[in-house]
Order: sequence, then C-alpha cells, then structure tokens
Amino acid sequence: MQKERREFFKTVAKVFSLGLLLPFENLFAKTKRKISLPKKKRDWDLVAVKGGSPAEMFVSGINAMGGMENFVKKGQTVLIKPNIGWNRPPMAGANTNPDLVGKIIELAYKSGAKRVEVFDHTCNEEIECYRNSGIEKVCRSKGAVLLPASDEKYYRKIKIPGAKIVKDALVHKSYLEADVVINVPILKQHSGARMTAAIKNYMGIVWDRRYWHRHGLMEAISEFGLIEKKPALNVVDAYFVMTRNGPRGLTSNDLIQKKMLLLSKDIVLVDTASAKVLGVSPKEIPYLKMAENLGLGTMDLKKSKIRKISIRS
Amino acid sequence: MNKWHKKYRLILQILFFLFCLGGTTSLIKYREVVEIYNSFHIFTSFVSWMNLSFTFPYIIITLFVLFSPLLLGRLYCAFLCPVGFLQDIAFKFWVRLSRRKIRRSNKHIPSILIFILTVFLILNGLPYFGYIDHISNFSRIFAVFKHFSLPMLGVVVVFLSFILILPRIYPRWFCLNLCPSGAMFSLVDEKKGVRPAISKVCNSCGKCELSCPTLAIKKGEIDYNKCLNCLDCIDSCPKEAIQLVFPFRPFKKGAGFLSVLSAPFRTDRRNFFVGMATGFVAVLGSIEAVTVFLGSKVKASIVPPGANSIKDFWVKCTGCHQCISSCPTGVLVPSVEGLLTPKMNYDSSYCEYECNACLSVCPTKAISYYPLDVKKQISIGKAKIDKETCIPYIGDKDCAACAEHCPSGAVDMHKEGDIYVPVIDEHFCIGCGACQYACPVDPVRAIQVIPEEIHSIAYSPRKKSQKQKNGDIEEHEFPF
Repeated sequence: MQKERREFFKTVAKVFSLGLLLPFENLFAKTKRKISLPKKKRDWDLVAVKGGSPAEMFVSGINAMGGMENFVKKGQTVLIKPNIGWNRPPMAGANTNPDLVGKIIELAYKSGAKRVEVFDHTCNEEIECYRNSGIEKVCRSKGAVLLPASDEKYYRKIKIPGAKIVKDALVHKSYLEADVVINVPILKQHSGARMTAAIKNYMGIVWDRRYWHRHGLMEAISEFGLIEKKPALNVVDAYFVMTRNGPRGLTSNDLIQKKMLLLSKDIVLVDTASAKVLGVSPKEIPYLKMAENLGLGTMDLKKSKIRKISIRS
Repeated sequence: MNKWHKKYRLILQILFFLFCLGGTTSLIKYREVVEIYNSFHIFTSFVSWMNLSFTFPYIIITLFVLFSPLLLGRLYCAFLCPVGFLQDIAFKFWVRLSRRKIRRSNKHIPSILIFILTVFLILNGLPYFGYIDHISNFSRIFAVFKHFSLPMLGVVVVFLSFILILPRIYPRWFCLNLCPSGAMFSLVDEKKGVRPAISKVCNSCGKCELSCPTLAIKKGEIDYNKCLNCLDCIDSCPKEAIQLVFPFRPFKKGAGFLSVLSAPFRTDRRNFFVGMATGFVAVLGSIEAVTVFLGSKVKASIVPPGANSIKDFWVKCTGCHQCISSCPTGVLVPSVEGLLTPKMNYDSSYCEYECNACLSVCPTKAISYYPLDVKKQISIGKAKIDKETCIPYIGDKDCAACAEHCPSGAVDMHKEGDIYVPVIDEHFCIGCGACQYACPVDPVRAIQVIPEEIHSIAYSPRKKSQKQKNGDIEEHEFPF
C-alpha cells in the first residue's frame, strides 16, 4: 500500500514539474500589465492642462510631455519666443504671461541649457513693450538674455522652401542660431487673421511684416511654416483668452479667464485645439487648413492622443 | 582776493546747464521736475500767460526770476542761463586765442523795442518769436540729434554762430540785442538794486575790463545798461576797488529806464531811432507776407493732442522742439511750412496710445497738459480709407493691418464673401496714425488721417467693450 502511495505522489510530482515548464506566466502576464504602472511615458500629441496658474500648468504639462529634458539638452542654446507685440500690461491679455515665460526659462536652465534667449519683433515701441509686458523683469530675474529686434541688422535672409508668396524672408539671427526653439504664443481673437496662436506667432521673427499683409495674409502665415527650422515645442497660453477686439484688446472685458495651457509638437494640432478654446470653428480660420495641406501638421483632434490634466478638480 | 564769486558763478552755471540738458532732452522723466525747469524760462512762460495759461505753483519761480532784477540785477542771465554760459565760455576762449584786444561796441537795441516786437508777433499768431527765444534755440540744438532735418540744422548753426563766434567781437550780443527774456529783465531792472561800483581806490589797471562778460566796463566806468550783475569784476580787481553797493543809494553814473526816454534826443540818436523803426516795419511787413503764403499749407498739418487746433498752436509754439525730443516713437517732426513748429508724420511713425510725453514738456503750453486717460480720447484727426487702393477692397485678400494696430476700436472688420474689409467708425477715431503707419500699401498708404481743424472728443473704447455673457464663469471644460 505504501509503495502505491509513493508512486502516486511521484507521478503527481512529475506532472506538476512538467506543468511548471508550461508558459503559465503568459496567462498571468496580461493581468500583470494592467496593474503595474508604465515605466515609459506615452508620447502624447497634445497635452491640455487647466485650473492652475500658467507656471503650475506648464510644470504639469511638460511633465506629461516627457519632461523638459526631452526638449532641452545640456549645453544647448534655447530660444523662447513669446508674444510681446503690444505695449500693454500683463493683465490685459495682449502678450504672453510673464510668469509662464519665467517658468520655461527656469526649467530650461535646470535641464542644462547654456544660454536662454528671448525676443519678439514688436508692433509698438520695443522698449515699452519689453518693459510694460513684464517680460524684461522676468528675464532679468531668471537670467535669460532679452535680445533687441528693432533693427534690420539683427536679421538674416533665408529661403523658405516650397513657398510661393513668402519665397524668402529676413529672419532674426537668434531663431536661426539657437539649438532649440520653444514657441510660446498667447491665444487671442485677431481682427485680420481671425485667431492668433502658434502659427501666427511666427510673424514675430521676421523683419518685414507688411509684406505678408500686402501679398496675402492667410497664404503668408501658412506658407511661412515651411521654414526648415521649426520650434521643438509649442506652448499656447490660454489663461486669459481675448475673445474679441484682438489682437490689442480695448478693455479687460474682452478677456475670458479660461485658465488653460496647451502643449504640442504639432503646430497645426495645437492651433486647432486653440481655435476651439477660443470658441471659433477651426474651419473658419483659413490659414489652418492651408497649413495642413502644406503638410505642417494635422487638424484631426479625434485621431490624436490627447492628455487632459485638471490641476484643481 | 579769493575768487569765490567767479567760482560759485561758474559752478551754478554748470549745474543749471546740466539741469537744462536733462529738461530739454527729456532725460528727466518726472513731469513735475520738467514743470520746474520750464518755470525758470521767462519768455516761454510769458507766452503761456498771454494765452491765459498759468502753472501753479511753479509760477512763483517764474515771478521770482522775472522780478529779481528789481533788487539783484539780471541774476538769471549772469548765474543761470545756459545760453549765457556758452557765450561766456566762448568769450574766454577767444580772449585766450586773440592777442589783439577785443573790440567793443556800445550800441545795442533798446530792450523796449525787442519787447514790443515779440508782443506784436505773439498777438498776431506769427510763430517767429520762437526764433529769438534763447531757451527754444537751446532746445533745438538737441532736437536736431533726435530728428535730423536740414532746415533745422541751418537754424541751429546760425544760432550757434551767434553764441560761439560772435563773442569774439561782441560778447553776449544775443543777450543785449535779441533775447526777449533779457529785454524783459532790462525793463524790470530799475538799476537801483544791488550792483558793483568802482571806488576811488581804482588805479586804472584795466583788469576788470576783460573780466566782464559783456564788456560793460570802459575806462573806469561801468555801463549799467550792459551790466548783468555777475560780480566777476569784483573778484578781478587786485586793489578791491570794485565793491557791491546796496539798494536805493543814488549813483552818479548809470541810467534807469525812465531817464533814457526822458533825455532830450540828440540828432545822431534820433537818426538811429528812425533807422531802427524803418527796419522794424520792413521786417514786420515781409513777415506778414510770408506768413499769409505759408498759412494755407500749414492747415494740412496734424498737431499733437493738447494743442486744441492748428491756429491755437501757432499762436503759442516757440518751436523749441522739446516735444520732438521727448516723443518715444519719433512721430513729431519739424514742419518746414510751419516754420519749424512740430507736426505729426504718420508715414514714418505713429502717436503711441499709452503716452502723453509731449503734453508734459511743452514750456508755453502750446500743447496743454492732460492726464493720460483724457488724452486717449482727444481726437486730432480722422482716418479715411481709399477704397481704390485698400487691399481687401480691390482683391480677395485679407489684410486688416489697420484694424490690428488701432488702439481705440475705430476700425471694424465687416465680412464680404470669404474675406473681411475694414470700415472706420469715426466716433472712436482719435487720429493717432497707427493705422496709416501699419498700412502695407506703398508709396501712398491706403488709409490716411485727415486733421481735425478743432480737436474733438472721441467715444470711449468702453462703448465697444462691454461685459461678456460668459465672462464670469469660474471653470471651463475642454472643448475637445
């Protein structure tokens, strides 16, 4: 009797050990993936943050985009291109929020940037715009270099490949020489272009804006995006959104406090999302469709991977 | 003898010169300080008084400076005036350079005539009085660096030759023969106040003669018509023969204002007067002719907010160009047809909405001061669109550069097919020229500002910027 029990247990042990060779792990693998956190962050097409201050929202947003180290490497020269076009104070919503610009400068230096530059070819007097927008102060406190742009000598002529209207342009040397460009516009309604956000912000790096107005504003705005060197990242300030009387604004009643921030590498996608935040159908903005047709990006929000972050729920 | 008079006078002149530099080039940004600077200048203040514009409390400074000659002689001229300072330096330079003795002329145009001439010009609205005002000429020197123009350079060069080269033969000629402020000081100066006098101790060495900046001392006699009370002669005398004499002690030498007129005319003096009077009338006649000719051209000029109208402006502007120096956008330029008074040039720049610099610096109040929020509603012109050349009107292209730059909401964009065309709402237009400056059409802009003959008040932009329906919503959802 004892011999038979021993044999039984030996058989069970053999079957059991054979069973160990089977790929049982695979049966549990799916469950394992479900419960464990991903080691690598997903590559989002668009990150939309809301509910915090512009600086807070940027920290959260850039984190979702893989961290600032994803865009700025050690020893690089970084150009941060905000909208400083108008002689208006920060609360007027006409220029990019200075705290947002300050936070980006800070994180760029933290990622190891050697030099951070800021400029915009302003519409009003440069000294007044740089000062009253609050950008001069924040550049000084964060250690960024605020460059002059109101003299033709700072610009260099380059060709725009594939363009019909803006075949060549005088572009600011800082844009051409920087290792990384971060495009930081503010979202506003615009009397001429319907909306100003990421693509329209390119207008601040050229010397002769009047040429664009003279030869077809919409075509020029979209075609200029064909420029060889493109921004590594677009950050759209939608904290105070000027929904009418833009781009200068008449009073603070023109602003709606949306408390949003949009980040994307795709300049057309972020502008499409911005149009919706502005409350305008993207189809109503001629240069968006033109830009998509030129291959500068996609307007398809539905097919894009969008990460939505709400800071204060 | 310690030369403390000369030293202190030089130091005061240098300090005041630097103060004038700051005030005239708008390095001084505080309006109150610029008002103080302007109050020191008698003639420009006088022009503003003739137009019933009085600046309290700084008028006290002006009155003190104007009436100080009663007791202290031409104090301003001797110790402060920057134009006098330049002449004194030039004179010292020529004395060093020239081995021959400097010649001296005793004749000068009686102050009363200068005064009458300037009052005539002011009352008739002829802006030439600015050409002889000392501080306006001084300001113009610096404005020519800010905005270069050939006629301006000509005027500045002529003035500088009077100030720097003429002292070789007649130091301070400008002060005694042309300066209207100086004329007013002389009229007030009764020659009974504190002044230097030569005592019997004098040994006729002649050292005081060359130390006097107006060469008022000759052969041991001081000509009190020329004496500015600078007191340099007191320091220069090795015998201390020249001393300060105090008020209301009668002099043997020296003539007061009244005695000039009451003295019986000798023939040569009468001829001199007749000659002067004829020349005077001839000059005035030709001035009138030229003015009538230019008057029509000037009406097309746009003048800054605070000027009220081109006519009012011409009556007060001395062409000092302090406004041109202070303008941050450089839109103010000297107008040739306006005889170097300023005008707006919207093809090269525009009037900044958030600025009222020119209103804060004008010494004659040709541009009156208004706080910024009032200035933003003063309409100096109205924009008009030429539909034959405006890009959206003639083609199917969007532009809207004008609407983009307009700070007061005067340009509306109306949909026409696929594009938007600009339409001006004149009620909101303040004529700042931002639209004309931004317009990409060359050589003639498709949108031009026409001057308002008399400045009006525009609607507040608030009318177009009422509270929005969803303006108060705290939290928004992502619309995608």
